[in-house]
Amino acid sequence: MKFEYVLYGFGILFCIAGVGYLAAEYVKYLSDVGKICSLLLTVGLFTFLGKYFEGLGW
Amino acid sequence: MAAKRRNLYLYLTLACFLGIILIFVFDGYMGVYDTLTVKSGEDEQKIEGANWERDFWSTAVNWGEKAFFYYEVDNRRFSAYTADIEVSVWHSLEKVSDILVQSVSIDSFDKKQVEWVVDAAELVPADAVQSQGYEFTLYIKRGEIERRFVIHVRSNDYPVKTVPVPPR
Repeated sequence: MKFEYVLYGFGILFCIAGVGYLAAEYVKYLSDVGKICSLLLTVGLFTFLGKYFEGLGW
Repeated sequence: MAAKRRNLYLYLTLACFLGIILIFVFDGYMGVYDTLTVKSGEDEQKIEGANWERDFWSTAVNWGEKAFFYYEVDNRRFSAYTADIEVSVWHSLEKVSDILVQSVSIDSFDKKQVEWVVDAAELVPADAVQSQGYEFTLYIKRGEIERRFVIHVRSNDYPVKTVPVPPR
């Protein structure tokens, strides 16, 4: 059972790393305004996601 | 009530994610893009915006033949775009000739094409040996952006191989 969670953890980490790498590559081609808006939305995304999990009792 | 608020946070998270994707798509489309199409002999190349940095671009022209260049500037912005386009040919860090100097003004979400011809016979020095190949660099300057393109002038001794017809 615990081993499964380790595998899940690796899977999630690889997914985040992959998406992060692609985003970092693409961000190079964004304008400065686009970069700032993306950053603000990313902050908002993680804030709301944190609030959602907080509501779930995590 | 708590469940409703929790769902609201989830929707806001999704909205932020969609916003990021939309910015990526919209911002990626907007801007000023240039495309160069080169035709020389049977060869035709198209070099588009982001590909300029990724590769080394060149074409080969036979001695006495011409290469045709079509440079298109695509203005995907809400305002008009104005720039001076300067095209010149260089060899060994020395300017050989100015091909074109032109000012372009492009309305928002419009395109404009500039054309020029490079004659290999005019580039090579008068006392050049025809059995020798030459290399020139074509610089396209548009405002602060500079593109580099190499022109190989093939010698007359360039072997033309005939492909044998396979037996039936």
